[in-house]
Amino acid sequence: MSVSASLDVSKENSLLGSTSLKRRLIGGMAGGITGFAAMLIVLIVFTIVISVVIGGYKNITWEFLTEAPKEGMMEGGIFPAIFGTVIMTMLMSLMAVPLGTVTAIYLSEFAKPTSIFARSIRFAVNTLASIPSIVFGLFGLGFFVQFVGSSIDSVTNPGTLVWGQPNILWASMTMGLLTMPVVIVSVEEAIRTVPKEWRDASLALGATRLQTIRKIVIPGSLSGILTGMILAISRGAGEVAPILFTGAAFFLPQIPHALSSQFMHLGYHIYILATQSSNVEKTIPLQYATTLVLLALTFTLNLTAVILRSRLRGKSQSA
Amino acid sequence: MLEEMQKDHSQQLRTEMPPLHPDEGFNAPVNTPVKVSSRGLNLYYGEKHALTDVSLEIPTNRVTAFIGPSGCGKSTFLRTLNRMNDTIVGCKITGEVIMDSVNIYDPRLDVVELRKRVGMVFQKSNPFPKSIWENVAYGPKILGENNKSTLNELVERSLKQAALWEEVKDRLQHSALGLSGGQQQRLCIARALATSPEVLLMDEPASALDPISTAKIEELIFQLKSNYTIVIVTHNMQQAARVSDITAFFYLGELIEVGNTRDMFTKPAKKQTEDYITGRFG
Amino acid sequence: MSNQKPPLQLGKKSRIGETIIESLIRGLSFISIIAIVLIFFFVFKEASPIFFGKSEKVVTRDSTSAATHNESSKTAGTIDSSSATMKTVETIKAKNGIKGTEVTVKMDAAGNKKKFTTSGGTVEQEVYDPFADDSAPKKDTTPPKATPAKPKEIKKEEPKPIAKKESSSTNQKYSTTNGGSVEQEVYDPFADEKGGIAVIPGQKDSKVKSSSDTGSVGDSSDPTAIAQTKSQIDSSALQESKDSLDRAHAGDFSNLLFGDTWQPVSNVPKFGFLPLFIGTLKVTLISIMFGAPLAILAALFTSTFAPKWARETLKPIIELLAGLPSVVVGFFALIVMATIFQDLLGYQYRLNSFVGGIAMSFAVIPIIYTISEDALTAVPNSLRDASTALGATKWQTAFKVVLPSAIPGVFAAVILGFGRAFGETMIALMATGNAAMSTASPFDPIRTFAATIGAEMAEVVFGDQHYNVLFLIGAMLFVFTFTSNALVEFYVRKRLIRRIQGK
Repeated sequence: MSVSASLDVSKENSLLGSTSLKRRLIGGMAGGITGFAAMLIVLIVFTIVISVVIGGYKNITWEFLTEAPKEGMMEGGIFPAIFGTVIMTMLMSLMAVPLGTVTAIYLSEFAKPTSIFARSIRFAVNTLASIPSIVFGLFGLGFFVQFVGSSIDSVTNPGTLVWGQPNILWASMTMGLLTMPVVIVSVEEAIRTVPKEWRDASLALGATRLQTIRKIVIPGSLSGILTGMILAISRGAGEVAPILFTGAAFFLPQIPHALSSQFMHLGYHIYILATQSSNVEKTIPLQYATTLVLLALTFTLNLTAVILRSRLRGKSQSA
Repeated sequence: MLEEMQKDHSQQLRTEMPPLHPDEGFNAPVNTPVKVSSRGLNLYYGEKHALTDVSLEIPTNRVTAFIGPSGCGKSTFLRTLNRMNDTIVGCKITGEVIMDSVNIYDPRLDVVELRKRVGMVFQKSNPFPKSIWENVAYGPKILGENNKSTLNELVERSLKQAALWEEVKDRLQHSALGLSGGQQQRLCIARALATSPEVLLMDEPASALDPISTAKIEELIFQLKSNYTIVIVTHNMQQAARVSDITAFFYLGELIEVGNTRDMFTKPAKKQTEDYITGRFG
Repeated sequence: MSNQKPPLQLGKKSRIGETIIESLIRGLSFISIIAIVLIFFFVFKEASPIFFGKSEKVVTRDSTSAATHNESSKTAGTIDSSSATMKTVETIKAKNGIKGTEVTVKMDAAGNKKKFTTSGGTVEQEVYDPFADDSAPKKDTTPPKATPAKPKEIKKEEPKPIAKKESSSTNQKYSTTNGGSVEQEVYDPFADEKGGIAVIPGQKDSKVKSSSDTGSVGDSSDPTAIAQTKSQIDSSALQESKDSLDRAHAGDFSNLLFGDTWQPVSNVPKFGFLPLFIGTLKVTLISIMFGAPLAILAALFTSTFAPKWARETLKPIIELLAGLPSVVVGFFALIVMATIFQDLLGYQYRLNSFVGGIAMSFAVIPIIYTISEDALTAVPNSLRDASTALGATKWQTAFKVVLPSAIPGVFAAVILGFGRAFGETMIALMATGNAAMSTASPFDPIRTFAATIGAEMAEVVFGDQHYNVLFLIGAMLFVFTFTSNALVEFYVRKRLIRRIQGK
């Protein structure tokens, strides 16, 4: 259908006797427009990064990175926020990485692509990946805090509120659910780069399916699992909406000491400083610096993942 | 005319490569008991009827070759012999494959047990991205062999059987991916031999190799057939004529003719076989 | 050696470990489905009281809501009742900012008791009165201002000293937001010293104030305080509330939701979705209108025109854009972009749907780019070759062969991008001005659904009507993404496959 369309076009052109100049002009313009669009995107990324770097680098000091906020968050550092972010992403990975890896293994090694079960899981993963993060926040509040937490409280120590309130554990678990699809997708992609011939060879040698997975598939897709983990951490470090009401603290000078305590988060801290503080203008340097720290963190992680993945893709193409 | 040339050519090749044992050399007489046999085997890929009523007997310690044009079902049939088709989605099989008087498609059969006895070498050499030693030791390890010295012995014996030992004995810990194509394929054969199978299935083992490597593989097949029942799929008729004792001709998913290799190539019973081996189609 | 083996025999070896692990893998992979179901269930569950009235379980677990709810159910016809709601809200809020938790609680408990004893009578107006009395002076004169003023009053009654707030400024913010007649300073964090909290009930504001004044910030976020309050209210309010449970808002949710005003925190809370819907739609459309062509053209560039080096530079850069935290984009929009755009275009409000939309397109571009690039590269080379062989130029091939064949995929990309923008929270929260206005101009501030949840959830009382409405919004977002995803999954993909592989 589309081929015939192009056929008409070329005929028309030859009938018109269109000069090669005209065609080249149009072609150049068309290519130029697409190239311009691509350049604009690059420009946007660089503008954001550079403006944050320029605005923030002056305020990145050792004190800023290692001290708690002072004077009602007007001064001081962001150590609790960095620490909270790190702890939260670690807890989150503990949940998202094993679950995501197992699901990816199931999807690529066990499930028949046509089975209803596998298709439902795939659909669920796709949906999980596109549910707005704020809805995860609501879910975390409604399920982890209000339902699971309160249930634990009512069983262990009725009348008090330990788990039935926002805390770092619930925030991490909410975030874990949010980042699980990220892990699934990249691990599955990596597993697919493991050639079928290796699996066949292993099976033909009398290995069971599980032995094949353990000795051939997982070692072959380690870099993918790593990429998934890094991407998940990066996503978790940057995402704010799910933790707005599942555990992030407005201000908490001490670092979280238990799973049931609240925590500060870099992204949330930026949001608070930029919109909720009593003197936004005064803290703009702090905001820039905090943003730069977050940006540096996520960019480093992302860049690592991008490099790892492009290596992986190169490998799969050569194999 | 063509037939003549064909024969000449294979004759020529044969004289170049003398048989190792006069008794069990080229086209040895089929006087051994049946190892594997299929009865009324049908195979479907979804809607597609890939194999129709294949009944075939494979003798012990002989080389059986499957020939036929691409897509005729010869590789598919080979894979039914160690149930590798199980891994393909939408593949359905009816009929029986009997090995040691057991139907290997019996639901009570342990497919892992079967594959330990029926080794396989694939068309494309597929060494694992591990060291040469690890590759060969993979099978025995899977079967529960953990003794390092036993494994060393096994690796050495298998590599020697595969005529690779001399070439790689100094670099057993190097990656198998650094070997040449022919060496990789012989490594795959060594890997398959390490688990001491009774039957060795070879799916066009030399199709991607240069003539010298091919000759080495063929030589290997000669040496192995005193201990193993070998089934080889090949699209190369000279190869079939050179290495096999029995030849089966497949066409469009059906087994057209099977017989002594010498008979098949000199006086085929069916027209289709004759057309194919004289190069009129395929 | 091979002949020494015993002959092949029937009988499966039992591999218990393997069986267990395999079923474990199966089971764990089921979690994605469970998660979707749980999300569906719990988000809807918390929203359901709007439709079905409150279940007893919810009330007993969360007593604050009981008190609140009791009140509002009495005056079912008029939504006025939630001044009581507000009372509770504000009390808790106030306590939140103050050290003297106990005092607040007592006061609150007392208030509840008063409420409930009166409610023993049949006249609803009486139930309502005590509360009206509490805040009478302010309320009578300036009704809309009454709400934010309340914390102040409550605090007045308390023995412990707390920081004084400039309630006037807070009030002003309220009236402007509620009235819908916008004053610039409300929406502009820079004009207004208070920052971008315009619509957020002045509580956060006062929290900050009190913290900065008294230096007792730690308490403001002390969870145990809330805990104690809640449980204490629990005990006092529990029994009384039970009788009037289910006469909830059941009938009037339609009035509740389809109004044209979003004014959740006021005497007469109004939860009209219309302005939020218009706002969300505006900002989403702007982001798609800006982002989609850019992303699709860039995808066409990489799949057709670009030399190899350009392709390999662009891809990682777009992956980096995708990895950019939305709070960073929001920050950039709020601090940098808003000012530049205002200087360039000279519109009135610094933060508006245009700024928000453009910022949001940065989040949308990677999605649309990635998916349409996949679709474009999936167009078989034979098609391109055929076109080129017929004498078509590169651009003719790109625009007349490749792009049309990949249209379903590009369509899917736009749908998914739309879904992303629809639910994007942080950028909307930071860059759109957050005023629930229903105007057509792209340069007016707006408030999106997602941002509403993000801004207000921290302010509501659990189980309150406002709380339920926010969950209802969440449920809508869920349904929306679920539907668009299903559409892509079951319709667009199929068409794409059919189109590329031939019918």
